[in-house]
Amino acid sequence: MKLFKRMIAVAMGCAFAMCGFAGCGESGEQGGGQGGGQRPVTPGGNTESIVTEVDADITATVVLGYKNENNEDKIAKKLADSFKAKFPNVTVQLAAFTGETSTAIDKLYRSGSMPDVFLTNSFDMLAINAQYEDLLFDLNPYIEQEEKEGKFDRNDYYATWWKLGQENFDGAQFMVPRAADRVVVHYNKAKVKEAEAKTGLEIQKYIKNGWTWDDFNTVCDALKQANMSTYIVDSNMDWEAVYNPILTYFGAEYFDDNGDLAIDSAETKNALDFIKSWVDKGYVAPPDSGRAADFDYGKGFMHFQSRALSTTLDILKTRVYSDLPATTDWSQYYDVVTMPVFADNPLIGVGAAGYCASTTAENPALVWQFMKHIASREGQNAIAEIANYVPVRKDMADYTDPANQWGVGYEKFNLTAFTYNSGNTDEEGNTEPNWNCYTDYFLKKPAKHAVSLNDTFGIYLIESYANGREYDQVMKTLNTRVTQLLRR
Amino acid sequence: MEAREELGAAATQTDQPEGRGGKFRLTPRRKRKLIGWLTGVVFALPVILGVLIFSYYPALQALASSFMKDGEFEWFFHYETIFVYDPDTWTVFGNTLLYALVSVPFGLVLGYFLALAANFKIKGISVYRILFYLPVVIPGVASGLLFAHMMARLDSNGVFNMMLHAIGLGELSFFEEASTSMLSLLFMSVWTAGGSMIIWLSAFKNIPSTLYEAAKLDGANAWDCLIHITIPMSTPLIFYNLVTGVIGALQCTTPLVVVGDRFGTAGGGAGNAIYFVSVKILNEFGYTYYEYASALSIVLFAIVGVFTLILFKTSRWVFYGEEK
Amino acid sequence: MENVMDERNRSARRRQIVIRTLQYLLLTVIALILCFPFLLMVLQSVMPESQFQAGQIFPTAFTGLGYVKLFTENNYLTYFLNTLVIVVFNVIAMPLASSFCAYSFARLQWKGKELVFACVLSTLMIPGVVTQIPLFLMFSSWGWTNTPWPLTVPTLFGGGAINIFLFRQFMRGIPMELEEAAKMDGANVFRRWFSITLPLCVPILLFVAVGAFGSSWGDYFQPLFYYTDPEKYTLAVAVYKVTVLDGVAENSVVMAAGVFMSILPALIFFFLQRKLIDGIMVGAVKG
Repeated sequence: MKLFKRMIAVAMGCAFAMCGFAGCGESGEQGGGQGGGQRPVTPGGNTESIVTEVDADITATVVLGYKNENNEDKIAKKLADSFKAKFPNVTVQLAAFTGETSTAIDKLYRSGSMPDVFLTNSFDMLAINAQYEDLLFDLNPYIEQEEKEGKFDRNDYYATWWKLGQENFDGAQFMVPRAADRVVVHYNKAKVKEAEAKTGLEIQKYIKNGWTWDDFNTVCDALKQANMSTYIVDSNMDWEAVYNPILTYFGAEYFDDNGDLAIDSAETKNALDFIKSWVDKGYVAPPDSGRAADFDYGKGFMHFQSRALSTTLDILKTRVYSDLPATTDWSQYYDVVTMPVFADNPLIGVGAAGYCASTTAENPALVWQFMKHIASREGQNAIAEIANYVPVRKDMADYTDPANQWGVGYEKFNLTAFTYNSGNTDEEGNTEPNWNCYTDYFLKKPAKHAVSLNDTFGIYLIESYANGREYDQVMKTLNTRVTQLLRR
Repeated sequence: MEAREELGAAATQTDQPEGRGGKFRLTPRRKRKLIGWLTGVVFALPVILGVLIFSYYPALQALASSFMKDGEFEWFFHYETIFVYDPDTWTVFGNTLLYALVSVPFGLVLGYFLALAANFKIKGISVYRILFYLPVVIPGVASGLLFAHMMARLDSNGVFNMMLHAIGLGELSFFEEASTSMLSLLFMSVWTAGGSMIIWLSAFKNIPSTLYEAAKLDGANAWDCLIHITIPMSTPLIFYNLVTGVIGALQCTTPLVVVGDRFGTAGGGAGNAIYFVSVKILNEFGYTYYEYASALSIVLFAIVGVFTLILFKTSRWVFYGEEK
Repeated sequence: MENVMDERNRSARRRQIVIRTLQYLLLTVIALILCFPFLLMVLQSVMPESQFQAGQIFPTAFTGLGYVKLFTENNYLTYFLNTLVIVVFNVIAMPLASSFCAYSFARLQWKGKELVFACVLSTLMIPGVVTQIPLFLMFSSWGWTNTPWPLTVPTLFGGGAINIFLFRQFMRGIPMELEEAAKMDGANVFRRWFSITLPLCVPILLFVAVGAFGSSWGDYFQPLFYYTDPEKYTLAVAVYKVTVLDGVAENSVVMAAGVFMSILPALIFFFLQRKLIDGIMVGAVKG
């Protein structure tokens, strides 16, 4: 027994004794395995000296990191193979990682196995940049140099997504967006037709690109009347790409210019009431019910999602239409359409995934060439061939063009929904409006909070109110949540 | 500690000869003693290094970083967040304590009845013991997965609900609703009662059978035997396992994460009803809030410490005749 | 008189039989309840997806498709081999390392022994989550992410305080005479540990080895921390990721993964059960 008493005493003693020197040690988190190897990027003022070109028969390796999900491995492989056409002796080595991208990159960086180029989304990009100031490679000097030489033109790309690749969405170009990522409505055309037959109402004519929330309500009411499923829509309402355009339309503000929480306003209440009406009218399942419209199982009519048309189609083919022959005209069963908008100020939520480069890369010019390849027609076609992602190039918006891999095999679908009114310019020089709306309120706060703030607003503002909590209660809880979160 | 030991050793080597005024000589006796000491230390060296590198140092690192905000010392900033600002705190610590304090005794009681059955003196009993213990050896991930599947809703083909439906009973919400989540978790622990069954069986084994025989002669029935012999005689063992079980349960995660991930946001289950400290710490880690996660883990450490103290305070009564 | 005795004997025997039957019945019912989920897991792993979707509990047709998909689509063979490396290392290293250190505390006389032992035991109080993050930072700064080192190397350093404790207790129960005799014959201390003491520790060796197996086989937490490369996954992580996080796998595949994870621990337990239950009892009493 004496032993155990002594054990405690020893433990305490050790703790206090060692406390001293542990505290004096390095500041814990900044251990960085590759810290010493960082190279400062050549400052923008000195662009003349930058060499952007690389010898075509250079022998080198580029490590491409990507998150191991969906078919990213195939996309990475395709990009690697297509890069071979330009640089036959360059090997693109694939390095899959798992988990939250910012956490995974943190791990890889700390352990000295940082990839040269890696797949990320814009939020993780900001978080990584906040954690390691000099880790992300600023492409602007390279872009400017090549623009001068006429080898590259930023106007080839949708401004929205290009901006989402920048530091604080307006600065150093850290990311080359790889796709025009936007929320669209995936809808079950076959079921809609069935509902039309059942109710005798015209429904399909409302469902078209640029439709409004009023049209949406009309459609939902008609579908409700058909009484074919408990819920109509899988809304993903807690996703910032869905809730942020609505909040923005109503004029809600998250943080004021002093950085104080300013969400409690009549505008917010209106926006929340609007979202809640989906639940009240039975279009959408209450978020806390654990239920859903189950679009992916052929039960619901609509799904607010940004994923590629082919992905959803494949899911429906295996889960719902496994009995139909492969030659079926699938566009009669399922299609996409733009997110509904408010006519007086149309906004549609967008986000961006793309590739960032690391300053730890051996050969920056080669890395730039690889990034440029991703954004080129060949690169975009390579991505589209695997995943059917929407090209981020304006000159590839016409999906019926056979040279455009994006639309091959999907000519009958309404793929325009993904890029409709994104600020493109047609052949006559007319520029369409730009409805794209990205989430940037969190820029008023340290970037490490971007993801957790989005989650918090999604759960404790949007879902909580939609679940029927009192507005004041919701605001109180949200305030507590945000306050404590920002103290991390 | 190691350094302190070596210093002490050096002192014993040099002190004596100098005290005698002669110059230092390694006499055979002293040499043997030194070699003996060195042998002992060499054998213990791996674990000495092990606890320093893999336990004490990281624990102190965690302690130190819990006192920091963005790499600067701000002593109790994160603790203030935990206890004043974070609305999850009471939920997660409450859930964790509730789970630990209910599930462990519950498991022991269940294990007792299991052990009674497994103690029947009949042929083939060892086969039954194996079967009773089998669920315990199934890895946590597999059983978490399995139960999450079995306890799903009727329309998701949850087996328990299908069985209830088949005998004409209503649907149970299990992990789908906050009110039933914790109970469902306890329900899951029925299948691991085999663990405490073994503890009871070994306790039974240690009770001299003469006690029962004597009691029987005095006309005692089974209930009297339980109250007056089995329980008092097994108390030390059971109490020890109770406390260590609680300490273990305070830190448990595996099946919870599996279940929580399936049925709710961020591993907390529906309405955060089964949101546990360890899961919360991992969530904070996931957002790369390392310092805050460290502070939370230190609070958990403190709670475990309290239970350990309880164990030691009462251990005189528990460890009868154990230490030599 | 004899008749009465006979009668009494017979009725006693009859009562005996009734009790026996009831006992067997009770035991069987309990065993069925406790094993039901795992039985179900096995059955549903060979159940066609259509029957599952149709809401059948037990299969009426059988298919090996779940297992085929498990191994062809999900790389489980790689995960299995990854796991095996870690498991085999730990199963061998843990009992050896902990008995080695325990030998020092149980048999060797040296100044400061008790103090060091107390320090070792005190680590039991430190919850895993406390050391998890600093350990992660430390290992990753050593470049140990995506290697099996974080899951194996620490085992070499003592093999866990609780195991040292168990070994120490067990070794203290072994008579000194054998060792004294070996010492007389000139056996050095390593031989006394390895050839004399260790063979006598078989029950506890086995217990610790199986414990090492269980903890490395089922551990998905540590690998999840240290592996970012999906090729390096261990089985438990793979099962968790593929079936829970991605959540798209068919039911039979999920169940097959569960069976695949459980089959080895179950077999090991099955074949070693007598010795293990003894060991567990030792652990339960002494632990």
